[in-house]
Amino acid sequence: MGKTLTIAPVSRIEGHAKVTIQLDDSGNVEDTFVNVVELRGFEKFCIGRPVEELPRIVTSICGVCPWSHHLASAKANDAVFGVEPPVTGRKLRELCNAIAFTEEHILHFFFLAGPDFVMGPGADYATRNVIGIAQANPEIGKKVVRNRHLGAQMLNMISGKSIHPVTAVPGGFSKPLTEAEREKLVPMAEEVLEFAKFSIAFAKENLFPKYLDVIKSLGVIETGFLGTVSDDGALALYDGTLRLMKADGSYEEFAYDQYTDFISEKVLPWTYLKFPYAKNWGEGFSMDLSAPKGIYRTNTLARINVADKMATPLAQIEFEEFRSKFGRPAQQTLLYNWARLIELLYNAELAVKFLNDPDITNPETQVPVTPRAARGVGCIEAPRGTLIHDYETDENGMITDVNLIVGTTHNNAPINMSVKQAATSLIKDGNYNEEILNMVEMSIRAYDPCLSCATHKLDGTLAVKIDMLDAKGNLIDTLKN
Amino acid sequence: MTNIDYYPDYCRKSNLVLGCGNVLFGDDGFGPAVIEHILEKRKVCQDACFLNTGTSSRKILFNITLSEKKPQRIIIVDAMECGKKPGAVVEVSLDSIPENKIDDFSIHQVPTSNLLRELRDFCGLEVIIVALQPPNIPSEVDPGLSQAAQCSVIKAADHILAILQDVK
Repeated sequence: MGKTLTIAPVSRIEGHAKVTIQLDDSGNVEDTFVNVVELRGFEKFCIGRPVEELPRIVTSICGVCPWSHHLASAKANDAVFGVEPPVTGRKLRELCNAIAFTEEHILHFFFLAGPDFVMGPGADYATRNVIGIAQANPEIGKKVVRNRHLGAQMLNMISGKSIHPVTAVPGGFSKPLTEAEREKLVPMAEEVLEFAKFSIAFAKENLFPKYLDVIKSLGVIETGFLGTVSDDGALALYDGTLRLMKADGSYEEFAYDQYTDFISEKVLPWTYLKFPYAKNWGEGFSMDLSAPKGIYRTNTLARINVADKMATPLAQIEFEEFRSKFGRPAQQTLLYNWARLIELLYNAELAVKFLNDPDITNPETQVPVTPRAARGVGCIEAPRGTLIHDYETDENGMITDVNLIVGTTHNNAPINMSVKQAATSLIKDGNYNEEILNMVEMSIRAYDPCLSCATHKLDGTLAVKIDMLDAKGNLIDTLKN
Repeated sequence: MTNIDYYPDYCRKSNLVLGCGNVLFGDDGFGPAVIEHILEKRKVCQDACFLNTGTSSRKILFNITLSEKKPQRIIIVDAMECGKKPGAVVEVSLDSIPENKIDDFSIHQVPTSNLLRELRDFCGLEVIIVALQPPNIPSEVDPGLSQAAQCSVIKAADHILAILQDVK
């Protein structure tokens, strides 16, 4: 009799996911499904609103990475109005983006994915969480809080608000940075850089070596990758060209507003969330593990894979080591965590660099804009993947059409595939336990998915729930942590 | 080391009040509205930190979990189903939040209830939830409080400030 295992909700990801594992009659994995929540109705709500309101409104889409939505929307506005922000306006946006990235990557590594590595995937569920980290490593916990606090304070000083930002506006940035503010910010950014250096050194020395075997096997799938690069091929987060790489390492590049020529979205009946795929490869869409079609990934590992180099010196050293160890493109899903720490270092370096740039305190930070009928695409690399805002307006600057593709949506198919790979390799003859189920969850957490809602479960009382159903859908057993 | 306080305000003050919810979903924006009302129109005590965290509450709660210095009391103001008349404002026990608040995969649930339980049970914080029985939480994006929820903003603010009156 076939069984269905349901893991719901997956813990320590940004929001919820429900994993269903369908076993065949012999207790081996037949299929898996990852269901996630999608924000519904946002596009419809935007129709008829002034386009310049969107950078402010979109920060409410997601409480996890509001800066990414804010900046992608501001860039889409620039395109709609047909303007380029002044150099300083652009640099202030990039500075905020870099700081927001450091906050987010620290959050993910130490709070969400970290417990699996710090405490170990087999550690008791009651301690394999952020409280476990705080108790086992109080000094690290203290530094994490301190550096996230510094990030939030820097964003407050630069923009007035760190949680619901409003300062990126069509045509630039509404608040120039004063010299007095810059002088206060420099040592704060330098302190975060020291922590970024500590983080990657700590992980490379104490965490990753212990789990290299797991990294090399868990959730490994073969896909293409999507990310942004600058003109010289360096990893870029705020602006550049999209590079879509096949699993064999060959790639094509395209401008943001051409994304519909390269990417299409597949709809499947069991989930609201769409499955973007590379339509220009001309092979269609398939999540078959042995012969995937059209599947690409975004987020940290994707960006490191598509880039030729890093634009900052310390991150470049880490990048070279990573590439020499794992090749290009690296396919091991858990390497997202390693790649995340390289990006943490890069963003911390970038923040220091911008704050020492003489342009940064120039008072010319925005240009005026005039409404017109146009289409504008704003794209940015969010911590969780490539984020696309695509707007169309009428001659009065009112929205007539909106399309958003968020980072986690790009990774919908790969997440499903990694879960299937992990479950298939770990669950045999109907045998499974808590550690195995956590390893399946780890393969999802590596992607740092952001599901726009709000519950975390840490003490194990309900985080992972397994419903076993027979082939007719009758509940025959339930297991809880 | 910079001269910024080592820990954030919300870790250093004895009382932390978080306005939670998504302002894009009707009365789910109740918590943020209450905080905005208090900050704009009411006199608040010095030893309390009021934050409109919207859907970002976990960022704050994670930091508190790891911080050596923590508030003694956290008050959450949010909209949630609590079996009362629409528009009613009540205190809800953390233990009474039904499991489906955690498992129903809705974005309109009390955020971080689990993390709050951990803060209470493992870190010794007092956690109070001031809840609105929401008249209207739409399933799709539709911002703006209902009239009944708007009327309850002052009620919730009064309730929270009364709790804080015993702050030394």
